[in-house]
Amino acid sequence: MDPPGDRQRWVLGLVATHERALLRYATRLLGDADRACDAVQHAFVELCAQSPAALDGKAVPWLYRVCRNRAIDLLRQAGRERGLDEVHPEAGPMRTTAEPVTREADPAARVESADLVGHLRALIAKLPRLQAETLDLWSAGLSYREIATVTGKTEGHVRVLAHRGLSTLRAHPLIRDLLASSITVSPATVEVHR
Amino acid sequence: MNADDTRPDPRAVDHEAIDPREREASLLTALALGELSGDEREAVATRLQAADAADTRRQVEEVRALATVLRGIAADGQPTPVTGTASIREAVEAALAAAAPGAPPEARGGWPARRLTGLLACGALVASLALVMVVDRSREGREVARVSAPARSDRLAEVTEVAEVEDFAVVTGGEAQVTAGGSGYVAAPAPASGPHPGGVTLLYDPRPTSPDPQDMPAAMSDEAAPPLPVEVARRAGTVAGLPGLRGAIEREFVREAEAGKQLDLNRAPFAGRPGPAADALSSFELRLHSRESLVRERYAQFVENPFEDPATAPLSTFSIDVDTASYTILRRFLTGGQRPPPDAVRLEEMLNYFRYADPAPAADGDPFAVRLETADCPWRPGHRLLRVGIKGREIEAATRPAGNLVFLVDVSGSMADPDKLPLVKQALTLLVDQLREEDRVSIVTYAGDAGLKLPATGGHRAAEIRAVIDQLGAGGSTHGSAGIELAYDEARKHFIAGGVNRVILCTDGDLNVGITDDGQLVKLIRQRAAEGTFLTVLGFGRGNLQDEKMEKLADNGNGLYAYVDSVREARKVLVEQLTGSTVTIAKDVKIQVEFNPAQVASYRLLGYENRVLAARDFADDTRDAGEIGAGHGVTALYEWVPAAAGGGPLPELKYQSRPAPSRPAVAGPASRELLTLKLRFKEPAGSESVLREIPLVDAGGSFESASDDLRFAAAVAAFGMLLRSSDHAGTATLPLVARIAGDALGTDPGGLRAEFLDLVRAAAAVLPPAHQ
Repeated sequence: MDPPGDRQRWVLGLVATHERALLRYATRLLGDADRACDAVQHAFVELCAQSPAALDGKAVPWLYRVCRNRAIDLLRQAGRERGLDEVHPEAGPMRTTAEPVTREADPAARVESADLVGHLRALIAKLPRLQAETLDLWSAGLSYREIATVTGKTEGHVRVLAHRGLSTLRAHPLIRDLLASSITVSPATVEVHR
Repeated sequence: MNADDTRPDPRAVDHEAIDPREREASLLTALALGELSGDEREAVATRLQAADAADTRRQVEEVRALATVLRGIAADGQPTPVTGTASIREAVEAALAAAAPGAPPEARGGWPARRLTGLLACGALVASLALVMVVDRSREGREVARVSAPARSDRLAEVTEVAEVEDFAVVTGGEAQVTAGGSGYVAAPAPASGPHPGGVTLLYDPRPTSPDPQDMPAAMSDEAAPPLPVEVARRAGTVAGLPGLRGAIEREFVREAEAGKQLDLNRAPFAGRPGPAADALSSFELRLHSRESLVRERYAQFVENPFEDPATAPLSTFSIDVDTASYTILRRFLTGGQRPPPDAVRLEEMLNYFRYADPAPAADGDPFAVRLETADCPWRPGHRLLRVGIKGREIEAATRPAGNLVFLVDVSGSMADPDKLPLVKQALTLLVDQLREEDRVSIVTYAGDAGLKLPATGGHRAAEIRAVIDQLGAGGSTHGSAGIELAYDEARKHFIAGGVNRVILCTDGDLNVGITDDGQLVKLIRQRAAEGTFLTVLGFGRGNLQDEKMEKLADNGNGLYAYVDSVREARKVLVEQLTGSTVTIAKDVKIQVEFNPAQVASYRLLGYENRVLAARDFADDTRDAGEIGAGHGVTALYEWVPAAAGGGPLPELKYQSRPAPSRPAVAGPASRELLTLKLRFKEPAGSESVLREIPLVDAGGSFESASDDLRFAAAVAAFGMLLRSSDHAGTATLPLVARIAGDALGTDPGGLRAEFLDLVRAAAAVLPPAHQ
């Protein structure tokens, strides 16, 4: 058995490094900050009962998985949703509940949405739910394999979802412009800013 | 593992039929994202190498670029709803305690009650609070504080919706004040048994910097009326127990007092007042007009260049400057809804932020080309503008010299903010993709977990470099004394003769790089620059920026100072300008303009205030000046008054007689010349300067007929003068700036000019109506 101090450090370390990303993810799933908080708390509390050795290297996808399942339960409990996986996976935006606490609500954020990252976030939010979720998880640092573990899809499906999401983003005029200007610096395609 | 939580997903099977072409395209995407392994990667990569796969390669590049931004999203500080995250930690702590040996395993079941934990020592104090103000921080740096009355705050979630807190103050309207500091979460319900019904909020600060409970102030005595904003600030500053905020506020007041400025509601750090009396204790928002002024950012004061008379001062001499930090800083202020401090607005750095279409020099000639253009001045009838455009030779990534780059990264606790270390890491990751085998990268950290994190490593070992970058973390004990010396030693050890040798300092302003004596630090930097290792300074984050000092360090190190506020900026600075900010094509570049008094009644250099040189320094090769990197452009603007228009008679002097105006100084064709631009520069390794002289005859020309570059530069300069409330802004207004810039966007690579228009619009909210 691991010494309790170690486990504590392990759990608190994961809280420190992944709490925010998990909250962001859960908020997207649930569309509501309070329930997102519940789901994330649930995941971390469950983690406390796990042994670091058993989750060796898989703690992060495990956390997302537990958080996701809890989110599904919460959605079902609310009765307003049939749960994430019963909605047609490609149908409609991910955010289906009442307008959640998002940056759009914040006037300062609106100003900043001139910023690329803001645009990108808004664009991702408009993607079909599973694509958005896949990109969210990937940008949170999870690999395809880990995303597959979290969402219960095959790795091949994750591959396609990521591809579809990125293709839609790439086709957006704003992103296209950005890419046009940044691609020129890549040595593979030569022509340094000209 | 909890069986219920890991139940198989009903949709685990991939039901969808996927088109084979999409499957193939997905493979390419996966390759770009680095998600393929082994054989698959080899196979796809081989297909990519095919001669007809150029389009596909481009697609992969695009996805890769997009992916880099995507990975940045997580760290880019999206305001995360953190309501009640304190309860997450509490719950985790409770669960950990329950899971400890000896406790029955069932103890972890169920939901831990939300309860007061944390700084229990605060309890007694907190219990006496009648009302709590929580200052939170939106990402843009604007402060919004909410104050809620006891009756309303029986649920904390109602009190604070957003609680991303850097420093937060607790100010009561009447009975007590507390200020806490550090990064913390705010959330706790009021215990029903509290001495005051409702209205009890716990602020707790998990960082070790939290004030010692014994230092916490005693509750203040009654004061019925809500205090004036200034008093709020002063009391928050002097009474509360947090040295950082207190010190900052005190400094702010000292500075305001020194500047002899009136504290008005808009400028006071805590502006805003409670509404009607009945509502006074219920809920109101405080806007901290200028968080920046509360914190430790410092900008050197400067006085704008005046108009000069060419009869008495024919020479205008300055060193070039390719810094761009000022523009990024003012962008941060404006997008945050604040007016930047006038001294943060430096016209030359604004002008040089943009790329201009000046023609590049011939490949075998001088390292740069010069373009001169004059036109009417849009903000002062009768005046004219001169634009000097210098364009450095571009070096393609494939042919640039090898780089020996040592990153000196600040990992102090304050760097943990999303717009600091995480952004540094993204910036470094972006750079890694551009490295070649012969490049060397080292990483040295300071002010936290200090030391040589990555010994010089070849650019082809990208995975190793990335792994080290990934592991950089802020915090830890402070024992970093080696810092900058270690970095320079590393640079020297792997010095590449004929290559690019640079130390790149990445910090949020903690310049405790190991040498505390500024003079010695500058001396070291100059000495190393003389040996061929230059210093680039990249500023990150907000709140602690030592703008003046950072610029000074970079200038002494022959380097660039840039402020990085976003992934986009990181790309611009580190990747797009990798060649520019690292490959010096000429150094000690000085410009001297000699105006012909027969043509020019007076002239004024816009910006470059801290780059002005004495006329005699122009030919003095021992005088250091700015360097120009590959692909860099430099723009300078002069406003001048034609002699025909006259400058008006000069005032009479009492103690000396003015030399008789000797306007026709030269005869012949030269008398028609407006000016001569003289340019001195040294080759990167040279010690003797080369002189170029370029005369200019004014061909007339209205403002409308001028090039996009001149007109856009004029708009940028006018905008800067408006932001500074310059006396020289003439008839300029924001709509004028927007109109000129909007007509002069040109091809606008990278969308920088379009973004400028957004800033002009944002400025309308923060500038006095007189400018609009």
